[in-house]
Amino acid sequence: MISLRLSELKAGMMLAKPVFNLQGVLLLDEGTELSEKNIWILKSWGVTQVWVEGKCEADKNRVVELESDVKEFIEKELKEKFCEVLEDQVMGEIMRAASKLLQKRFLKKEQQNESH
Amino acid sequence: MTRIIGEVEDLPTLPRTILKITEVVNNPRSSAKDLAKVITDDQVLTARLLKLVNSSFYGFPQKISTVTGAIVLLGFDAIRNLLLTTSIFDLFSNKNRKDRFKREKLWDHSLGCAVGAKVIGNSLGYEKIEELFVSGLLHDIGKIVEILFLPEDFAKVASMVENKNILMITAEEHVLGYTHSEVGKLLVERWNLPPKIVNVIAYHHQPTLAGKFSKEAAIVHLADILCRAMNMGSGGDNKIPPLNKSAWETLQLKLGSIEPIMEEMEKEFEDISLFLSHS
Repeated sequence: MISLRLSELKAGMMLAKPVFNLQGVLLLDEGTELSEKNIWILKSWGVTQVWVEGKCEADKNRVVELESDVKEFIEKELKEKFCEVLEDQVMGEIMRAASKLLQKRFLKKEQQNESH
Repeated sequence: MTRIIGEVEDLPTLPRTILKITEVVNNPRSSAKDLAKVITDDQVLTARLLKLVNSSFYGFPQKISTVTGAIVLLGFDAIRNLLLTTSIFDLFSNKNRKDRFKREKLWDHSLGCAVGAKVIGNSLGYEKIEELFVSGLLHDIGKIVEILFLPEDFAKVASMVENKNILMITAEEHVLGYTHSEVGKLLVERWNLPPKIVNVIAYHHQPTLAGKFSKEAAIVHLADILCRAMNMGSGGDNKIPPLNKSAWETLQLKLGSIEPIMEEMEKEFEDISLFLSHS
């Protein structure tokens, strides 16, 4: 079970606790599978934070998203750098290996930041 | 180029001890004792030498506590190169100058290239790794000379690099009519460094012209490309120089060995940075 901000909610997530409005009226019960419409309802009632099931799943998704963003960024930068020399097969291999290495370097730094 | 030659009198000098050491090393009649005497006269140099030979970079199993011990283990040339390494470092520190161009980034790039040359050399079974390391470290020394002695011209080069997003060597050809390779060659010739190092610096962009040192030049040429790809510091531009095809063939490396070489470079760069860093 994890507490998420409304902006982090996605359709398909399961509520782990019932959600009430400020007056204490039940909006959605626990076990409800969130739809886009549900999320919109929560927003319109001024709810800011809810509990949903599956902490690991949500966390993992966030990391995967981050990783693919980083990969995209690294590859864009490398292509810019290599754009005039990519006809060469060796340079292609160097770019591929560099992309892999730069992603690894980034993740390592992330982990170090987390552990501090 | 004539202007450069005119100003060459003021080129950066190496510390007197290093010049003396080069002299001793170049003299075939010198003994380990002679060399040790010159080194131990300089306390800072002695401390640096012992710190570096005991670092993981050299990986000797036992602790080396005397200068003579280090000379016996490493040999004359290696010691000269190692001391050169620690002295060159000082040329790259920014001090109080307001450089638009970050000399620390150039140092990281040079160190990356040195480590790359070492790792490539190792994978080829090359014997004089020290020489490769120092050549890599010095390959862009001409840029330092330009920054220090031709600041106005260098500013023009830097702004052309920035505006057109081109290699620094291309901008140098346009603006100056000569390149950092030629300037670097002049400098290290003046320093009396061995012809191998001179040629590698002069031809790291055209390794096939380096004559009997074309293999060494090819190694540094590839190392330059790899450390740029890996974002180790900056050579002052944001482009990758093209790989010289015959240089690649000279090396006889397999395509599959590039990735492990880069991984090893990443590891060793971290290790050596601890011993030669600006912090």
